Amino acid sequence: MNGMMKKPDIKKILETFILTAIVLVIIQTLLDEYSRYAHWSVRSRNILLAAGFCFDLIFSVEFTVRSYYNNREKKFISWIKYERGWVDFISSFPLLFLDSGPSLFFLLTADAHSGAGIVGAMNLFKVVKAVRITRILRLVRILKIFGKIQSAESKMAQHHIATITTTAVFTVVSVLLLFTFVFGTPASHLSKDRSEEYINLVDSLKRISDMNGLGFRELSEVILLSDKNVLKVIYQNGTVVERMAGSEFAEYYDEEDYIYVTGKACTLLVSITDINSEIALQYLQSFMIIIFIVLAFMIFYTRHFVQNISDAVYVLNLGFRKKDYNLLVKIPEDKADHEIFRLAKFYNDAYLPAKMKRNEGSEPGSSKSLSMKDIIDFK
Amino acid sequence: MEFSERNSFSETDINKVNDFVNHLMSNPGVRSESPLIGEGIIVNFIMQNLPQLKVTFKNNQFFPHLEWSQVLELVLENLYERVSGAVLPVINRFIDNSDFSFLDKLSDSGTVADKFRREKLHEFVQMIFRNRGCRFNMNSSINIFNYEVIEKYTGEIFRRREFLYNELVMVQKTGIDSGEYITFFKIMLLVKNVVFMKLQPDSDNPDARLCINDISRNRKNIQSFTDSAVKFTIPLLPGFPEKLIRLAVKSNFASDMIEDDEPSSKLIFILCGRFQNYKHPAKIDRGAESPDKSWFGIAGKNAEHFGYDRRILDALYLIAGDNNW
Repeated sequence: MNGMMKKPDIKKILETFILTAIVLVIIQTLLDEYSRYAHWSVRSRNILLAAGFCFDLIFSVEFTVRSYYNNREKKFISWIKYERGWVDFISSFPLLFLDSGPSLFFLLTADAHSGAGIVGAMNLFKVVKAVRITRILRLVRILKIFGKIQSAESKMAQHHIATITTTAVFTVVSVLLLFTFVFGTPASHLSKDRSEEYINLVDSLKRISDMNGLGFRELSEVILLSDKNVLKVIYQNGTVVERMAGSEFAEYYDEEDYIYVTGKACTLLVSITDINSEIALQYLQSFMIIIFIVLAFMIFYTRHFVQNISDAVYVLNLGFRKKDYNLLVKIPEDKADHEIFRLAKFYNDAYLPAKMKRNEGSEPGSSKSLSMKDIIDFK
Repeated sequence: MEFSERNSFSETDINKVNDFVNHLMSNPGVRSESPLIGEGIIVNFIMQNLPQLKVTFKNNQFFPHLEWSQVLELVLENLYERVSGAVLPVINRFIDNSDFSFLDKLSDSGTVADKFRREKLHEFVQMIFRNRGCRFNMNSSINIFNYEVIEKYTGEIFRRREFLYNELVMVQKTGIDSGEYITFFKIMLLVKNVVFMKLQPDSDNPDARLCINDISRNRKNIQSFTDSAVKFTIPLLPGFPEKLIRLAVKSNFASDMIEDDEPSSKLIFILCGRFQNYKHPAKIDRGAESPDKSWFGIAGKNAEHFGYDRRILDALYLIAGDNNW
């Protein structure tokens, strides 16, 4: 039918689309953390949040479709277990429902700068944010791209490199997650410390003002506003003193960037952007470690595996199967005692010479290449 | 079979036979082979299926008005023209462009004009190429010409000046340079195929005509056959040294039938074994040794069985390995 693409073409386009999405989501994840580190504007961070949601949605749809087709072909379990379907799962729905989905929901529905309930919910999401790190597992699927670059056409090489890469990455991610769930996020500890620090400060100022018979605001305002972390001071009488104009505040600060600290005489909005920045840097460091582990396996271990295992097996396989394939296996001198090369030595020294003898006298392309059917086919 | 004059056949018959041979040549099993092997496949098939083909060719679809022998003649001639058109140019280029004057140094016949030698060598090649037995056995020579094997290996032998160089220059005592040796070896490759013609090895029995495949491989028979092959060839190639012709004829025999001072014969025997069924590889698999190194390595393990000189094989193995051939 004209204008209609064949099935394999559509499949190829979809695969390319997904691979592109994988690369982009990695970039998005890194940018997302970097935006917190560099304290980008709220708008920029929200765009990245929306992009993250879109990617999670795409991967969730992809997982659903793949699940459907694998289930239809009764391959679901083997796909989940052996073809890294589990990676597809943990990097799709959990992120959609626990991270980007709720974040986007609150962004779109909540009043941006008020509501203690939202603050509580956001604290919950900060814990869930630790799951974001699993997104990096998507990298293992880039093996297909790197496989081509590295000429690791061997299915065996691709499988084993994918396995070891997945194991390494998943181990690192598991340790990070374990620490997060057991000891809490560093953000929560540091925020708590900061909160206590400023409660103590406000209470101390209150005590001093009481002891000296001075007005609290009179005593504290200059001191509090000279602290770069104090964004707003809300006095008990409802007076609000702000460090910066409302528009500037709205441009650069959202609920994740400050905490409410309520002392005896006032409530403070205390910036935690420096804490967020530090945490983002730690995440970036973890992501880079994982990315470089993947790259190292893809580049160095692939070469190692191909040279020492799969290339030799490839030649052995052809030599055993094809009558006219008679190339010796290359045996590195320093690895001659490895089992694979001991087998190759037997193949080189015994099998191929015997094969040469066996093929003696058999001319290439015997008359069996032709049959009477080939004659009768002539028109 | 001698070919009759083509003008006894109509243009339509000739065209139809051409189409038929095209059809056979397009068969995957034939197309993937060299022209000489492809011709061999078709001729062998025809010979093995004569009774059925005789009946088939009488069908309207084929050649109902031609005698079986006429069809066969046309098919074989068509095949020959195709193969000679594909194969002979590389040999003709060699003969036309080579300097044979160094052969004067190797024979007692004085100075012979190159033009004369070229004419004689052309006639000789035409003669043996016309002979189906010789032609079918020329595949290795043609491969060696096509892939410039002699140029590569001779250049390397002379550059390295190791075992093979000593054998050729000191032991064989053929004092010629690398370029001349290339020509020398190539002439050997052409002359050696004469042994596939039916010759008369025994003057006492003039009716007995044998080719190399008909003689039993013992030293006495081989000596006698070599002498008659050399004797047969010398008049066909005036101006070409007897030593060269003898070395060429002996390059068809296993090394234990060849004297120690005839390393050229042993070398050509090995190279012909290597390139008899040669297919040029599109690429070498990463985990594999190069094709020539592999072959020389494997042949080295079977040297005694195939009659190859082990030391020459080892030397070729090193050359091939060092050059990734």
